[in-house]
Amino acid sequence: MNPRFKLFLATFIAVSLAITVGALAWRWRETGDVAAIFAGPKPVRPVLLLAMPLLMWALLIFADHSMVDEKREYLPRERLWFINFTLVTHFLLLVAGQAWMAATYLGSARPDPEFFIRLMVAFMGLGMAVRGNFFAKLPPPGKDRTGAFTRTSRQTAVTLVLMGLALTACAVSLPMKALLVALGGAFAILLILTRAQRRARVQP
Amino acid sequence: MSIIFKALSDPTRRRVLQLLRERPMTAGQLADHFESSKATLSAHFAVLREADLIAADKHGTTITYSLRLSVLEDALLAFAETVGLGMARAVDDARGGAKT
Repeated sequence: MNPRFKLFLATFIAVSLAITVGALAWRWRETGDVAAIFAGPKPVRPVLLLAMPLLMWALLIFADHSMVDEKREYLPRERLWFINFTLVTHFLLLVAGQAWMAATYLGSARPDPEFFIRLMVAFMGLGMAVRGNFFAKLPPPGKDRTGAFTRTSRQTAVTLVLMGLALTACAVSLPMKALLVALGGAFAILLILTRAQRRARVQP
Repeated sequence: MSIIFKALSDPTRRRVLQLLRERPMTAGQLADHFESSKATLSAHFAVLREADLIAADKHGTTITYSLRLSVLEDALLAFAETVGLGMARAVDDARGGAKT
């Protein structure tokens, strides 16, 4: 991974860490008791707050390793761009989710959870559409003599773009329950697409 | 973006992309579908490569071309095909070529 890009992603982790430390320190200052940090009706929240920067750090290391192939050479430019874009959108989502979690943990602010979920789904949908657009440009992992991988990639790419745009439209128009059903359906389709892509990859 | 429009404005280049939809092909296999000279086709391939619409994989003397179209570029290709972009020019070129 490009050192400058790694530093850019490390900034997200620093922000995440600052949110965690800030939220926990604030609770400690208010109660004057360390044990109170993990007390309350939802004790899992401080654990999740602590886990978020660690999760992002683990993701960064995993992505850094996945950017080189078996010969320790960098992947093609298109694939690197795709991974970088995916990382930035997901890190943004994680930091936004953590900020919302910290706000509800402290109880000082009560952001509307429905609005937040709609915003996240809309952002996720747009990210999916953009990534889907470039998905078919990714080079095949090996030889693609029959063109099966390229064909499957194109179908996956079109499905991702349509699904991303549909999710964004659902986020602003559907009632909450229907939106959650749509989100579940989108993940099911994602699983099917991943399976199809893997099958195309192993074809001789 | 103008490079992509330039690449998609020519019917021969669009035909190359349509052929590559089926499977990756060598330069020779693609040339079999056209009456143009190999030099002319090479120029078309170069334009498509410059626009990053196709990828070339060279093994010895054989070059295999494969499709690298994003969804947006695919939609633009379909649009250009529907509208028949550059068809009039191609017909004019063909007439001019027939006269000379």
